[in-house]
Amino acid sequence: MDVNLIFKIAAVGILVSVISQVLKHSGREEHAFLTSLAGLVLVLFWIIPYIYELFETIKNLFAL
Amino acid sequence: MLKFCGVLLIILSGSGMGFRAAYNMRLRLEQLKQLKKAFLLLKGEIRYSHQPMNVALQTAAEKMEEPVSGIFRETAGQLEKFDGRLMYDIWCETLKEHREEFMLTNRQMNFLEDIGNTLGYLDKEMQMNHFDLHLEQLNQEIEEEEKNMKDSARLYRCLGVMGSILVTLILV
Repeated sequence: MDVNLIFKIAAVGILVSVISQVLKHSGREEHAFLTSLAGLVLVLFWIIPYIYELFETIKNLFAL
Repeated sequence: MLKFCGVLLIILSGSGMGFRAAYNMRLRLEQLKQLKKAFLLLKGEIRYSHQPMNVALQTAAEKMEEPVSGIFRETAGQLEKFDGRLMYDIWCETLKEHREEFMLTNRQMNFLEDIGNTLGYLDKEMQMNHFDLHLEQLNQEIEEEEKNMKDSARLYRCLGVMGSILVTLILV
Protein backbone atom coordinates (compact mmCIF):
# COMPACT_ATOMS: atom_id res chain seq x y z
CA MET A 1 0.00 0.00 0.00
CA ASP A 2 1.28 3.34 -1.11
CA VAL A 3 1.38 6.36 1.20
CA ASN A 4 0.32 8.45 -1.81
CA LEU A 5 -3.10 6.80 -1.61
CA ILE A 6 -3.72 8.49 1.73
CA PHE A 7 -2.81 11.87 0.28
CA LYS A 8 -5.04 11.22 -2.73
CA ILE A 9 -7.98 10.30 -0.51
CA ALA A 10 -7.41 13.43 1.58
CA ALA A 11 -7.25 15.65 -1.54
CA VAL A 12 -10.41 14.08 -2.98
CA GLY A 13 -12.18 14.60 0.35
CA ILE A 14 -11.23 18.27 0.48
CA LEU A 15 -12.17 18.91 -3.15
CA VAL A 16 -15.49 17.10 -2.87
CA SER A 17 -16.44 19.03 0.26
CA VAL A 18 -15.53 22.36 -1.38
CA ILE A 19 -17.49 21.52 -4.55
CA SER A 20 -20.39 20.36 -2.39
CA GLN A 21 -20.43 23.63 -0.44
CA VAL A 22 -20.23 25.74 -3.60
CA LEU A 23 -23.14 23.81 -5.14
CA LYS A 24 -25.21 24.10 -1.95
CA HIS A 25 -24.68 27.87 -1.86
CA SER A 26 -25.86 28.09 -5.46
CA GLY A 27 -29.08 26.30 -4.56
CA ARG A 28 -28.19 23.06 -6.31
CA GLU A 29 -28.52 20.69 -3.39
CA GLU A 30 -29.18 17.57 -5.48
CA HIS A 31 -25.97 18.16 -7.43
CA ALA A 32 -24.10 18.63 -4.15
CA PHE A 33 -25.46 15.34 -2.87
CA LEU A 34 -24.52 13.56 -6.10
CA THR A 35 -21.00 14.99 -5.95
CA SER A 36 -20.52 13.75 -2.38
CA LEU A 37 -21.85 10.35 -3.40
CA ALA A 38 -19.50 10.22 -6.41
CA GLY A 39 -16.54 11.11 -4.19
CA LEU A 40 -17.49 8.38 -1.73
CA VAL A 41 -17.84 5.78 -4.49
CA LEU A 42 -14.46 6.79 -5.93
CA VAL A 43 -12.67 6.46 -2.60
CA LEU A 44 -14.37 3.12 -1.89
CA PHE A 45 -13.23 1.95 -5.30
CA TRP A 46 -9.63 2.67 -4.26
CA ILE A 47 -9.98 1.22 -0.74
CA ILE A 48 -11.94 -2.01 -1.32
CA PRO A 49 -8.99 -4.06 -2.70
CA TYR A 50 -7.01 -3.31 0.47
CA ILE A 51 -9.96 -4.19 2.72
CA TYR A 52 -10.32 -7.46 0.84
CA GLU A 53 -6.59 -8.09 1.31
CA LEU A 54 -6.97 -7.35 5.02
CA PHE A 55 -9.75 -9.93 5.43
CA GLU A 56 -7.76 -12.50 3.46
CA THR A 57 -4.72 -11.93 5.71
CA ILE A 58 -6.85 -12.32 8.84
CA LYS A 59 -8.37 -15.51 7.44
CA ASN A 60 -4.94 -16.92 6.67
CA LEU A 61 -3.57 -15.84 10.01
CA PHE A 62 -6.25 -17.64 11.99
CA ALA A 63 -6.42 -20.49 9.48
CA LEU A 64 -10.15 -19.99 9.07
CA MET B 1 8.00 15.71 -16.73
CA LEU B 2 5.44 14.24 -19.12
CA LYS B 3 3.07 13.61 -16.22
CA PHE B 4 3.46 17.22 -15.10
CA CYS B 5 2.64 18.47 -18.62
CA GLY B 6 -0.42 16.21 -18.73
CA VAL B 7 -1.63 17.47 -15.34
CA LEU B 8 -1.09 21.07 -16.43
CA LEU B 9 -3.03 20.51 -19.66
CA ILE B 10 -5.97 18.91 -17.86
CA ILE B 11 -6.15 21.70 -15.28
CA LEU B 12 -5.83 24.42 -17.93
CA SER B 13 -8.49 22.91 -20.18
CA GLY B 14 -10.94 22.27 -17.31
CA SER B 15 -10.48 25.78 -15.93
CA GLY B 16 -10.75 27.15 -19.47
CA MET B 17 -14.10 25.40 -19.89
CA GLY B 18 -15.40 26.88 -16.65
CA PHE B 19 -14.19 30.38 -17.48
CA ARG B 20 -15.58 30.10 -21.02
CA ALA B 21 -19.03 29.12 -19.70
CA ALA B 22 -18.99 32.16 -17.37
CA TYR B 23 -17.81 34.40 -20.22
CA ASN B 24 -20.64 33.11 -22.47
CA MET B 25 -23.16 34.10 -19.81
CA ARG B 26 -21.70 37.60 -19.61
CA LEU B 27 -21.68 37.88 -23.43
CA ARG B 28 -25.33 36.78 -23.56
CA LEU B 29 -26.29 39.57 -21.18
CA GLU B 30 -24.29 42.14 -23.17
CA GLN B 31 -25.93 41.02 -26.40
CA LEU B 32 -29.40 41.31 -24.88
CA LYS B 33 -28.57 44.87 -23.79
CA GLN B 34 -27.24 45.64 -27.29
CA LEU B 35 -30.49 44.33 -28.80
CA LYS B 36 -32.51 46.54 -26.45
CA LYS B 37 -30.44 49.57 -27.48
CA ALA B 38 -30.81 48.63 -31.15
CA PHE B 39 -34.60 48.37 -30.95
CA LEU B 40 -34.76 51.69 -29.09
CA LEU B 41 -32.76 53.27 -31.92
CA LEU B 42 -34.99 51.66 -34.53
CA LYS B 43 -38.08 52.85 -32.69
CA GLY B 44 -36.67 56.39 -32.64
CA GLU B 45 -35.86 56.24 -36.35
CA ILE B 46 -39.38 55.10 -37.24
CA ARG B 47 -41.09 57.58 -34.94
CA TYR B 48 -39.16 60.73 -35.86
CA SER B 49 -37.52 60.20 -39.26
CA HIS B 50 -40.50 58.63 -41.11
CA GLN B 51 -38.02 56.65 -43.18
CA PRO B 52 -38.83 53.33 -44.87
CA MET B 53 -37.82 50.22 -42.93
CA ASN B 54 -34.65 49.52 -44.89
CA VAL B 55 -33.31 53.06 -44.32
CA ALA B 56 -34.27 52.95 -40.62
CA LEU B 57 -32.49 49.59 -40.21
CA GLN B 58 -29.40 50.88 -42.02
CA THR B 59 -29.25 54.02 -39.87
CA ALA B 60 -29.68 52.00 -36.66
CA ALA B 61 -27.00 49.55 -37.83
CA GLU B 62 -24.46 52.37 -38.20
CA LYS B 63 -24.84 53.25 -34.53
CA MET B 64 -24.56 49.69 -33.27
CA GLU B 65 -21.77 47.12 -32.79
CA GLU B 66 -21.48 43.60 -34.10
CA PRO B 67 -23.26 41.22 -34.20
CA VAL B 68 -26.46 43.30 -33.96
CA SER B 69 -25.32 45.81 -36.60
CA GLY B 70 -24.60 42.90 -38.93
CA ILE B 71 -28.14 41.53 -38.84
CA PHE B 72 -29.68 45.00 -39.24
CA ARG B 73 -27.39 45.81 -42.16
CA GLU B 74 -28.04 42.51 -43.90
CA THR B 75 -31.81 42.78 -43.42
CA ALA B 76 -31.71 46.30 -44.85
CA GLY B 77 -29.68 45.02 -47.81
CA GLN B 78 -32.17 42.20 -48.48
CA LEU B 79 -35.11 44.62 -48.25
CA GLU B 80 -33.51 46.90 -50.83
CA LYS B 81 -33.64 44.08 -53.38
CA PHE B 82 -37.48 44.39 -53.46
CA ASP B 83 -37.86 40.75 -54.50
CA GLY B 84 -41.31 40.39 -52.92
CA ARG B 85 -40.26 38.38 -49.87
CA LEU B 86 -41.92 39.00 -46.51
CA MET B 87 -40.08 41.01 -43.86
CA TYR B 88 -40.47 38.09 -41.44
CA ASP B 89 -38.81 35.65 -43.86
CA ILE B 90 -35.88 37.98 -44.52
CA TRP B 91 -35.48 38.62 -40.78
CA CYS B 92 -35.54 34.91 -39.86
CA GLU B 93 -33.10 34.01 -42.64
CA THR B 94 -30.66 36.69 -41.50
CA LEU B 95 -30.91 35.50 -37.90
CA LYS B 96 -30.27 31.89 -38.95
CA GLU B 97 -27.17 32.95 -40.88
CA HIS B 98 -25.80 34.87 -37.89
CA ARG B 99 -26.88 32.32 -35.25
CA GLU B 100 -23.29 31.38 -34.41
CA GLU B 101 -22.41 34.95 -33.45
CA PHE B 102 -25.13 35.12 -30.81
CA MET B 103 -24.75 33.48 -27.38
CA LEU B 104 -28.53 33.62 -26.84
CA THR B 105 -30.58 30.59 -25.86
CA ASN B 106 -33.01 28.99 -28.32
CA ARG B 107 -35.94 30.55 -26.47
CA GLN B 108 -34.38 34.02 -26.79
CA MET B 109 -33.64 33.46 -30.49
CA ASN B 110 -37.28 32.43 -31.04
CA PHE B 111 -38.37 35.63 -29.32
CA LEU B 112 -36.06 37.60 -31.62
CA GLU B 113 -37.55 35.83 -34.66
CA ASP B 114 -41.07 36.72 -33.47
CA ILE B 115 -40.13 40.41 -33.49
CA GLY B 116 -39.76 40.07 -37.28
CA ASN B 117 -43.52 39.40 -37.47
CA THR B 118 -44.30 42.91 -36.32
CA LEU B 119 -41.60 44.90 -38.11
CA GLY B 120 -43.02 47.07 -40.87
CA TYR B 121 -46.51 45.83 -40.07
CA LEU B 122 -49.59 48.13 -40.14
CA ASP B 123 -49.22 51.82 -39.25
CA LYS B 124 -46.75 53.81 -37.18
CA GLU B 125 -48.90 53.75 -34.02
CA MET B 126 -49.20 49.94 -34.07
CA GLN B 127 -45.49 49.68 -34.74
CA MET B 128 -44.72 51.84 -31.69
CA ASN B 129 -47.03 49.73 -29.52
CA HIS B 130 -45.32 46.55 -30.68
CA PHE B 131 -41.92 48.03 -29.99
CA ASP B 132 -43.04 48.92 -26.45
CA LEU B 133 -44.22 45.36 -25.91
CA HIS B 134 -41.00 43.84 -27.23
CA LEU B 135 -38.84 46.23 -25.21
CA GLU B 136 -40.77 45.28 -22.09
CA GLN B 137 -40.13 41.61 -22.80
CA LEU B 138 -36.46 42.32 -23.49
CA ASN B 139 -36.22 44.10 -20.14
CA GLN B 140 -37.59 41.01 -18.42
CA GLU B 141 -35.09 38.79 -20.24
CA ILE B 142 -32.26 41.08 -19.19
CA GLU B 143 -33.39 41.04 -15.55
CA GLU B 144 -33.62 37.25 -15.59
CA GLU B 145 -30.21 36.92 -17.20
CA GLU B 146 -28.63 39.30 -14.67
CA LYS B 147 -30.02 37.21 -11.84
CA ASN B 148 -28.80 33.97 -13.47
CA MET B 149 -25.37 35.40 -14.07
CA LYS B 150 -24.99 36.45 -10.46
CA ASP B 151 -25.71 32.89 -9.31
CA SER B 152 -24.05 30.86 -11.99
CA ALA B 153 -20.93 32.62 -13.33
CA ARG B 154 -18.87 32.15 -10.17
CA LEU B 155 -20.18 28.58 -9.85
CA TYR B 156 -19.02 27.65 -13.38
CA ARG B 157 -15.55 29.12 -12.82
CA CYS B 158 -15.18 27.32 -9.50
CA LEU B 159 -16.50 24.03 -10.86
CA GLY B 160 -14.16 24.25 -13.85
CA VAL B 161 -11.07 24.58 -11.68
CA MET B 162 -12.11 22.09 -8.97
CA GLY B 163 -13.43 19.56 -11.46
CA SER B 164 -10.19 19.56 -13.44
CA ILE B 165 -8.12 19.11 -10.25
CA LEU B 166 -10.37 16.20 -9.26
CA VAL B 167 -9.94 14.57 -12.68
CA THR B 168 -6.18 14.99 -12.34
CA LEU B 169 -6.24 13.27 -8.95
CA ILE B 170 -8.25 10.38 -10.33
CA LEU B 171 -5.96 9.88 -13.32
CA VAL B 172 -2.57 10.39 -11.63
